[in-house]
Amino acid sequence: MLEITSLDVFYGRVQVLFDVSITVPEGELVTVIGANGAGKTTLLLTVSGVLKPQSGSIRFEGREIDSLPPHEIVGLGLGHVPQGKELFPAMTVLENLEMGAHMVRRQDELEERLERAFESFPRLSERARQRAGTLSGGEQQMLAIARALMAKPRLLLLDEPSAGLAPIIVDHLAEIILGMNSSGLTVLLVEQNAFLALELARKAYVMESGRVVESGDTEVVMESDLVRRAYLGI
Amino acid sequence: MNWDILGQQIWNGLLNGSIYVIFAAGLSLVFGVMRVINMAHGELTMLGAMLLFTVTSVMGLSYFAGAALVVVMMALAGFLVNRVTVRPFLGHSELVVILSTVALSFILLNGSLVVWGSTPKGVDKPFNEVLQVGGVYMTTAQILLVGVCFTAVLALYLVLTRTKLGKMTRATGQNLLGARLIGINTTAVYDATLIIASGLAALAGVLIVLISAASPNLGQPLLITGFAVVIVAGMGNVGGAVAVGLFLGLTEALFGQYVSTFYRQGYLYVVMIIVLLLRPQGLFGRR
Ligand SMILES: Nc1ncnc2c1ncn2[C@@H]1O[C@H](COP(=O)(O)OP(=O)(O)OP(=O)(O)O)[C@@H](O)[C@H]1O
Ligand SMILES: [Mg+2]
Repeated sequence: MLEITSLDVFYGRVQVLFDVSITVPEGELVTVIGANGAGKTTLLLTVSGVLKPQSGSIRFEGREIDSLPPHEIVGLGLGHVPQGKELFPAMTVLENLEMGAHMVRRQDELEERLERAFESFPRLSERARQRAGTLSGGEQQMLAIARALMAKPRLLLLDEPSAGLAPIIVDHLAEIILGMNSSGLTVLLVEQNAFLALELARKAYVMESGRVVESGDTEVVMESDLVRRAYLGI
Repeated sequence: MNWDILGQQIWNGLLNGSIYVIFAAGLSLVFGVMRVINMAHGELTMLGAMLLFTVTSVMGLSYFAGAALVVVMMALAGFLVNRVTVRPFLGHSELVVILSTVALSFILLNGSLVVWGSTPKGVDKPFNEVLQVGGVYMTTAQILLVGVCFTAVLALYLVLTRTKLGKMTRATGQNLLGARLIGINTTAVYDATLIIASGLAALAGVLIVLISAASPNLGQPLLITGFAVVIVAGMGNVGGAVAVGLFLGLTEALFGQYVSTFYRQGYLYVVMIIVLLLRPQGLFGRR
């Protein structure tokens, strides 16, 4: 569904991604783990069209997307929950969700999607009229995910959704991610929390200093010396 | 206390305040959505007034037809303002965009001086009967000005809070990256923002000629006043700019009447400095 081939990305003159290739088959949950500064966020922002690659290609459902602007990429069915959540802080929870579905023209369709969002995230329905900026960290993460889902994406990019959340909320989040995946959503999950990522995903990539240094089925990747030492501390 | 004089000054303040409101609303909208300080906003208003002079006095259109034509033309010109002076420089420092809009304002000002000369031009008003309400004198043209200003501000409010385009515009202003990642075409939003703001600036221009003459020099002082309003309100807060514009227009007139005619000019800046000392983010601004 998503094929990233030999991607080189620069910030100005500084190269940040080197020859990165990643494949996400339809229906799968694939994870990318890596330490701070490995280039995970850069990778996702390039897939979304916010950053432009110097070379390499990105194909989404067979279609070349690396020269498209972000709004067209979202229009093709690719959702992105960014690392900083990037909510609209002075708008209500409801308005944030509506914005996620801004491309929907029919009112009944919008209502239906809102209903579904509140069903999956009951906490958000309690807070519907509250400004997004006043939500707790966990609630903001839920809202960021729900907002991206409002566009009914077929592939969801998740950038460190567990960052800064209490363990119990991380568990809840893990269930949500698994639930989304089993209902047919393809997921590319970026995490520093390797335990969580490797628990959820069947395929994993490990990035270091802008390169993919390890990849394969999670059981295999977990057994590798590199991952055991650097990410799992065992 | 002479109540007639008080009433007259309140009306005069309301007239100026209405212009401040509609002018500052556009200036504030552009900053709030795009984080761009549009130094050419004053000249867009000036151009509205001068073009109205040309299409009415030279081409013979009626005031209303001319005003509608000028506002629509200037709104469309807002697209060019974005594409030529703002968008190419957005990736660079804020100073570069400020300088490019300063350049535009000089081009518009000097071009207008060449085309129209510096002598103020009177524009025929659609009607101008003098009414006496209580002890206060007002003209029908003045009432038109106040009515149109408030209608325009109400319309802007409704667009920003009730329509999808308006909500997308506010969303883009609150978080550009967030807006892009949910698929909002932020380039189109920026175009729309400058189209609306230029239209509002030109609307201020065609209304100003109801209470004073059209002159290529009217943009600069208005820009400074507009900044005072926007800064006191808090940069980018459109609702705040409306409240402050009205308040400053009213109190400025009362200050001129009851405190000092001579220092009236300085009143706005003294208020601005006091507010900035006490609340650097402005009255309605968030840190
Ligand atoms: N806007 C930028 N300009 C220049 N360099 C940047 C920029 N953003 C990130 N970088 C650099 O690119 C490299 C990769 O950053 P990136 O944010 O992609 O890493 P990451 O893997 O997401 O890290 P983290 O886990 O901390 O989020 C880092 O060295 C960072 O300093
Ligand atoms: Mg990151």
